[in-house]
Amino acid sequence: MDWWVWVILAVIVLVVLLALAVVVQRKRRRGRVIGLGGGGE
Amino acid sequence: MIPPSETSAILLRARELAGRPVVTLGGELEAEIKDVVFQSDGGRIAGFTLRNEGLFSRARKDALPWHAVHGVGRDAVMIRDAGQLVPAEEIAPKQAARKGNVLDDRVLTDSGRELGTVIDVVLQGGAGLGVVGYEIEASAALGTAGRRVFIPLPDTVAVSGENLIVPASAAEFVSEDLSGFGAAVDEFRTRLREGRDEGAQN
Amino acid sequence: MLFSDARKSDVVSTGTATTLGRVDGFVVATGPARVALLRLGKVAGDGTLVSWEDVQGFGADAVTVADAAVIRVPSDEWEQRADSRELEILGKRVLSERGDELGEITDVDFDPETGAVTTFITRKETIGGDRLIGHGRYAVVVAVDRPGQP
Repeated sequence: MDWWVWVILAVIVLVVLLALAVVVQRKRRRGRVIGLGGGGE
Repeated sequence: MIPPSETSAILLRARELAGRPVVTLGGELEAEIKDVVFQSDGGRIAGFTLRNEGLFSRARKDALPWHAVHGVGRDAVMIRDAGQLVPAEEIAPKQAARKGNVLDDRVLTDSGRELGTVIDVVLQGGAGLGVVGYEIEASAALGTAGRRVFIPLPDTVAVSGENLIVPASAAEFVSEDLSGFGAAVDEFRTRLREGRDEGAQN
Repeated sequence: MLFSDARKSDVVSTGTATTLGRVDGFVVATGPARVALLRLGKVAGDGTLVSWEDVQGFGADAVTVADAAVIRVPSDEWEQRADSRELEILGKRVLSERGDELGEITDVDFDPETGAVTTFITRKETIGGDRLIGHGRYAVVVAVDRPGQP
């Protein structure tokens, strides 16, 4: 294939990886709501 | 100092606080809110864990105890200065915190009926900030399967592993929106009190 | 007098009657709310700051100082932050001490005789200078006006 096809593929892969990283980080950053001292009644 | 009791008696969703800026009275951005931490016994907010701003930042090793909160507003949580932060272990001990997240937990009545899963937690200001209810994705048992509704909680939030136990009567005080929910909480808690008083008289 | 009017005023030396520079900005301090420093532009030397105490007169058209010696470099960390425009108050968000945003500062009214800040102006409202609690990089923090107000 022509060289520029590889370049486009590489860019697409990079964009997808970046999008995944952002999605994963946003999920990680979601806050929790934590209840303490209530283990079992 | 405005005591936290002046966070108005409005209701707010705990998850809305995640990411809210923590700002000193000197006008400096100290951190962002990460987790909301409450005491199961009494439902009172113990404090907040913190993270730095920015998409790729980690959790901070310090945390904000409730008594250091100057005010909780629409756009920021105000503190007098950063000197009042404490080690995160004091607010959210690691072991307890890992298991204590109520989001996505199943809500069961004490008679074994599943009401739904927790999407959010409803807080109410007053004398301090406290947990008064859950926003849940309702199960079929509530007759509103898949819908988001609010159920009120008593003073004590019972947790057992991944299940949260509520009194069976809570199902009678389900609200569809937040604006009417405050009244539902009051009525529900009055009902519980009456039940307790009756029991004490017998 | 408003910051918006007073900006770009010439800074003139009464000693030599020459123009030493131009007012680029104002640095507001707390306790009480006042203009503590002028930030100058188009200055010949290294200095960029003038303390309010060194201002002899603040007129509608020009600011007078004794001579170029009062134009100086930052003398502490706070002044360095001021010099770097971290403490530029125009455009800064205003937060009430409860944590509600009251808008961004579009202009500031001050007394040209004393340097005291009388009013902060945002698009939605005006806030008395006596309500100022703190001024930092992120926000200007003000006291609530009356019980029940944001």
